Amino acid sequence: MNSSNPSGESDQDLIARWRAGDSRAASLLVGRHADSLARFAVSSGEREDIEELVQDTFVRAFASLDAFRGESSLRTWLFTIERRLMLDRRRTERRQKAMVPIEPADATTEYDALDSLLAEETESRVRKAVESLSPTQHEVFLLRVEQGLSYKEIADVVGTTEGAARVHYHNAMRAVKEFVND
Amino acid sequence: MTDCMNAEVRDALPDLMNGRLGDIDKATMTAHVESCADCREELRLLQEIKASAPMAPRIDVSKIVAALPAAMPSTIDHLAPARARPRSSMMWKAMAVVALLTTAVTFGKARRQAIEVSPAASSASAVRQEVASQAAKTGQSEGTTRASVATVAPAVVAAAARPVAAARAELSLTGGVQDLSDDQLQSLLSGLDSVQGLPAAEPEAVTISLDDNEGQ
Ligand SMILES: [Zn+2]
Repeated sequence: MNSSNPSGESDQDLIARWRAGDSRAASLLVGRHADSLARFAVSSGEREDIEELVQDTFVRAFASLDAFRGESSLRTWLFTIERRLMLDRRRTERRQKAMVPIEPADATTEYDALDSLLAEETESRVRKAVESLSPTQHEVFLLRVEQGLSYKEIADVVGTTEGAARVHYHNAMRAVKEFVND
Repeated sequence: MTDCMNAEVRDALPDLMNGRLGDIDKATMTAHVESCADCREELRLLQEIKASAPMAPRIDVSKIVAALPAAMPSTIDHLAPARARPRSSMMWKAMAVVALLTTAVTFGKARRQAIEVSPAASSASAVRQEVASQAAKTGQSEGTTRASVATVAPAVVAAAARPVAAARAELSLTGGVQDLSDDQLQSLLSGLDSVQGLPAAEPEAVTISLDDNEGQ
């Protein structure tokens, strides 16, 4: 659905042009999708090296464009790759945290605590409601509301069924309403 | 805040907000929302949520484009038979996987055999060159290539101690990739995914039994 564009050329057209050696097509493709990927990363809780994450996503996507058969949109496929990279990051972070004992009296820890307290105060109530969702509800909800993906596209990105994606979205919506009305 | 009874409309509210409806659906939805307080309320909540999204940094497009791989020779000749393109690209990746597995297996053996054998330097460097050139030929991501080459150094010590023919038999696995089916290539590729995603400090243990393994 997202493969066509008001400016005329679809993602598929640009991919074909890039394959034929036109590097300007790559600039157009990256320019078209980079901001969405950055927003999805930040909304998903990534705080560091966003540009690196987005770059890795494109590098992987372009390195294996042959595997992309155009059955889903390029946008969906990019989200799928980015999501996998974020999961890898979190797994690595968890492993590092498990290895390094946390010092409670550490100066940086105190600073972080103060920092997040301030952030929490300025954060809106609806945002807190979204952040309180379970991980699965959270990513489905972000893809649906902030990125505008269809249930089918969400199912492709997170590896579930269209029906399950719909149920996750509505459960998330109910949880958000309850949180806000509390 | 109560929920509208029209499940179909509620389903499509995010699409209405994100401009992803065709003209007819959009007109129907707009008409409903104008007459339904519940849906108006829910749409307002969705808009508030979207507006509350944290700011993302601006992305430097040119920097990303500069980091992209060049269009592969096999992808440029897009007038070639349709099958050839994906197949040959899969082949490159599969060769990288096989090169990685081969060195990992050899490395495993090296640790078992290194104590008993003394290396023959000349054939060791021959093997090293062959494996390194295989890794380079695959043209894969730096991580994969580096992993292959890094494990070669200790591996060749033991590989050279055994008959060179045996070592070459292992390396000749790479040539056999062309004989693999699509399914086999796919499973190799999914292996590659996990290898790239989580680079390990050491090659993971791989249980592949080779002909000359058990007889010793
Ligand atoms: Zn309604």
